[in-house]
Amino acid sequence: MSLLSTLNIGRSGLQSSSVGIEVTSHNVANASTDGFHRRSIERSLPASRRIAGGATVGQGVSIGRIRRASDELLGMRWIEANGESARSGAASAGLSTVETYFNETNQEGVNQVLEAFFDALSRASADPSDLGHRQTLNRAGLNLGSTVSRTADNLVDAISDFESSNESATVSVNRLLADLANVNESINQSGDAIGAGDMLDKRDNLAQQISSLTGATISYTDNGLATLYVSGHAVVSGVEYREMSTGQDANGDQTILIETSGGFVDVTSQVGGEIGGTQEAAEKATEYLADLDTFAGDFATAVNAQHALGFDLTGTAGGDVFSFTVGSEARSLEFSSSIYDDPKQWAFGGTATSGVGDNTNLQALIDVESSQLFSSGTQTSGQFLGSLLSTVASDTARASTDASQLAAHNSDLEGLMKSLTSVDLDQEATSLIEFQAAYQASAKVIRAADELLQSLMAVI
Amino acid sequence: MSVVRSSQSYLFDLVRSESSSLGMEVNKLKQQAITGRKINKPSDAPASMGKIVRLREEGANQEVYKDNATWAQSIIGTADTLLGDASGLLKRVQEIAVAMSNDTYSAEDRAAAALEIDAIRNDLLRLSNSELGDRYLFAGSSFDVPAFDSTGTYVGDSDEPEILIGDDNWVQAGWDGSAVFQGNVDSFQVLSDLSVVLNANQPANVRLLLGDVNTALEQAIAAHQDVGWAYAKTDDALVLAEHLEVDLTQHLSSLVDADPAEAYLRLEEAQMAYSAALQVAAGGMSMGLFEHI
Repeated sequence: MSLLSTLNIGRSGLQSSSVGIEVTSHNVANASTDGFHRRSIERSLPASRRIAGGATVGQGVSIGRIRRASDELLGMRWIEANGESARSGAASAGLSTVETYFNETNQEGVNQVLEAFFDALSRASADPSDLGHRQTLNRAGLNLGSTVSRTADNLVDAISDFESSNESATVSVNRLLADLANVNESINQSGDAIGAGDMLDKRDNLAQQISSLTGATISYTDNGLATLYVSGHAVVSGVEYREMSTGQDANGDQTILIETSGGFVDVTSQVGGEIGGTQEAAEKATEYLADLDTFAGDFATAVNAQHALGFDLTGTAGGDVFSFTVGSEARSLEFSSSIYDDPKQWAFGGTATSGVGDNTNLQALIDVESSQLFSSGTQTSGQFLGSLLSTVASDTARASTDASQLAAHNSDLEGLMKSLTSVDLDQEATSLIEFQAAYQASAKVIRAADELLQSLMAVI
Repeated sequence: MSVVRSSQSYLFDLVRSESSSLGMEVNKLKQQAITGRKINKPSDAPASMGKIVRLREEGANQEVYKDNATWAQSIIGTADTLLGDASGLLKRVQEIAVAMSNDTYSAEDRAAAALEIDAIRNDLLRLSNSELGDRYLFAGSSFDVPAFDSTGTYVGDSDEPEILIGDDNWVQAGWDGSAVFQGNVDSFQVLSDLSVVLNANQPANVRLLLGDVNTALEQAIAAHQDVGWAYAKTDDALVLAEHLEVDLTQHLSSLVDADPAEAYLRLEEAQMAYSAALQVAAGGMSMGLFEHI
């Protein structure tokens, strides 16, 4: 029955080419689908048929399986790099926002208004009794208080935004973790069936998203299930997952937690991804705020103490120039409304009976600028704020450089991964032509066999 | 990175990221060209920020020092003129006293001289109560009231106000009139006493007063010299502040300001690279082999 066998061989060719065209079409359709790995068919040879004389003849082609292009090791490295890139990107974005609050490249930064305050004191030395000088000094003092408190308010708002962002992110992470556990279950059930490739694409996509948010790393079981680790803790293992959440430490600062069998474990200092980067920006902003509080408290205390040693134009001892609340010194820093309303209350004189031009205490107030009040008596107020600004600048620049480098590394790995696994239209076009030609040839084989059969039937 | 296949997804990602980064570079250079500054935020130059802050502070200080020194110069210059006049008046008193101590002059001559001495005393008193604006120059720190009352009694105080004209550099810009005119000898009292003995036609007593007259003149000249030194000090401070301001501004500008020509050229270069990248990307975004099927 070799003619029937030829027909079967032609049919297997048609089927194989038809599936090839289908797979190629699927690839072309998903050329732009994020996370899609190109598919290819693996064909195999069915058992040969022994014919008279002992020779064997092939029996066409059979479809082995639909193969999904992948590189597991590269994929693991990419997921890791993606998390690191997301962490540095979030830290950079957060710190860039924080940096703008210091406003030092225009004329409204804390350094500038502090300098303007001391400039106004120096100008007052020209005529300590002059109300114009005193009013200028009032405006400088008011501006200093409001600029410091506004900067601190902005930092507090930024920290709050960062914390809200991380709260939302943990909600997203938990949803993704649940999805990944479900996908694991589907992979487990589908085995090597057609369609499992889609689940694997989804698995890798979810892993990328979770890694972007948390810096998670991944490993795979033999049957393709993903195990995901955040800060060394398995958050997805098979069909099980552990939720993440936020909390607060003893200082009221946000913490990042992972649920465990015994409660929660604090991973704040190890978590990566956007959550880790945002956490880093929040920690930096908290440090800057603490420095600003130190400045506001110590500076205001020094100015008030010196002012109290002087006497105003009415012979009254100087009152507080600045007020603040302990614990939130920068946010609460405020220039005296009493002095603002009555500039005569600036206590420049050395004694209660001083003449209007006595600037003994004014000189001492001016000297506060050069007093080393900060960093264990090694820095003046201007130097302390300059150091804070330098810290903000270098932290932001370092984060930006890290973000660029890690983004480039991530981009390289992504490019390499995509070059290996995503769709090349020229390649698909070639495959399409190849399968089309094979399909047409198989059809001709069937027609030839059919004609032979017809000829044979006509003879009978 | 070695790319083994040129997938569509990879190519589009490449175009996206490269055009985005080139576009950001163009925007950054545009910002520099528009603002004229190459540092628009602290992180643009973290290593220079400390220096920039210090230079800006120092520059602002020089502006204050210049203004203060200019004002101090007005005060001291006025005091200088007044004390020069005072010295001239007391020199004239010395001449009169020396002449009238000679027995050859008559009672009428001495009475006439007494009248001139009285006028000089009034001039000296008016001069010692001179003010610049609302500031009585010889009233010490109580410069809102005249230094002397009509009897020549000092009503100011002994604090001598100073003005800041440089880093820890203060200059005296108000004087204790009691020290200037009544320090070693009370000039007003000497002139009153001289007038009395002249009117009394007592040349011997005039001779007795010659020492006090000389002392009054010497203390006026000494005060004049001190004021001259103060004026020179403000001159030096003013020159220093002006030079420092220029130097600091130049230094700051070299750190912060963008060179317009360089900024323009770099912007042109970046824009060309951006346009070229977009053109290449647009050209490469064809359907490849599919167009020929």
